[in-house]
Amino acid sequence: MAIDLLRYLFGAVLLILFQFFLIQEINFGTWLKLLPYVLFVFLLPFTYNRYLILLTAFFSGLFLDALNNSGGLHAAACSTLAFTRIIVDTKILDTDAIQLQGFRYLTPVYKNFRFYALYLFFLTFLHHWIYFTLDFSSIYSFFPVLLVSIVSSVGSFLLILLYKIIAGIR
Amino acid sequence: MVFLIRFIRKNLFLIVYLLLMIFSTGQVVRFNIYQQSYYFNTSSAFFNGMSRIKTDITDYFKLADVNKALLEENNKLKESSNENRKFSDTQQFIAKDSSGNKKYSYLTANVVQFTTHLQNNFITIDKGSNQGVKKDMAVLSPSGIAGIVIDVSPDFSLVLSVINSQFKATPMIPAANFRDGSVSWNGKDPTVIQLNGVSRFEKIATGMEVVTSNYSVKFPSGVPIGKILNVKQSGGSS
Repeated sequence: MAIDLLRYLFGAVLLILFQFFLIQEINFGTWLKLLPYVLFVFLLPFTYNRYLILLTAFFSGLFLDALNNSGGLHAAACSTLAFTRIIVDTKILDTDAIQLQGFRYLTPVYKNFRFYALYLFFLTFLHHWIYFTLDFSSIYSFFPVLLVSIVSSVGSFLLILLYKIIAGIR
Repeated sequence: MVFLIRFIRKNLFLIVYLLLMIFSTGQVVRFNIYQQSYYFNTSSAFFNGMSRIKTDITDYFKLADVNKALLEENNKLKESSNENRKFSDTQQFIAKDSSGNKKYSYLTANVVQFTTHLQNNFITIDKGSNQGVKKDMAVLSPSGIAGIVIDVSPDFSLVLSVINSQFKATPMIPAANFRDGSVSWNGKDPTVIQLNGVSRFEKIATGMEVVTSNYSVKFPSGVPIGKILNVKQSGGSS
């Protein structure tokens, strides 16, 4: 379990460094700000304690915040993502059935691709929306925040799907 | 009491999440222009080290651009070698000391960390109070203004970047004899900042150079801010 967790933490750190060193350095324009590092929250197994998932997401976000000098933007967004993921998993998914099929987290193979895409996009959008809401920190920015959240979550979503295709759909 | 304990036990997961959110959003609120020293001072050498690695890598790929910018700055310095010298406006003083009084002193620093993708971007430089850096000092880059020092640790300083929604500077456009308005960033394109509060009667045209005003209390006058990209009217101003 401990070695398994370390493996996941290492993966999370790699994704965060990928975000910090590469993705952030590319200017995709005003409305597209990719945050594909959120993938690590989707890869945390169902078998993990929900507090462990929440705290892993929180501290990973805080790690990226410390690198960026960005307060708690990523920490808040990642915590919300992890919290909502756990709620969605327990309320909507039959995690026991998924695990019996040999999956540790939701994959496109379970049910169908449309279901997986909806799950991935909804949670990614929520993360991005929290992130940009806190970043803009203004009630007058509701529509700009909504627009940048939608465009960016579509971008991050496609990038995560691309990774899934490259890594072999599982 | 039993009810309270039962309530906490039942909703512990939600409570932990809310506590994490309060902490995170609290950090965001604290990390504003007036109160960010907490986070800045707690950022350890590790994070500055990580940022320095990134800066070293990106700097390597930007060497050609940096050289070009330095050459341009060098040419400007040659053209106006007395720009940073303030002479007294009384003839008596000039007669006594023709070399003038030095108004500004410059200190070179390297960027350790910076962001351009946030609404409130900051720059960390590798000079701090040990090297004489103080709050509210102006930070310049080879191509123009870069920001204002807002927090200082012994060996590092935090700079409020030009592309921070809370940044403001006083501009002037020598070609239009214009000294008014303010420059700020609307949080959209990091390569474009906005000059607001310009009267519609001002004859401002695309391509005119905008520099820091001689009314500016923080920046030396005449430091490039940018060039007019386009002029838009909104209400009574443009």
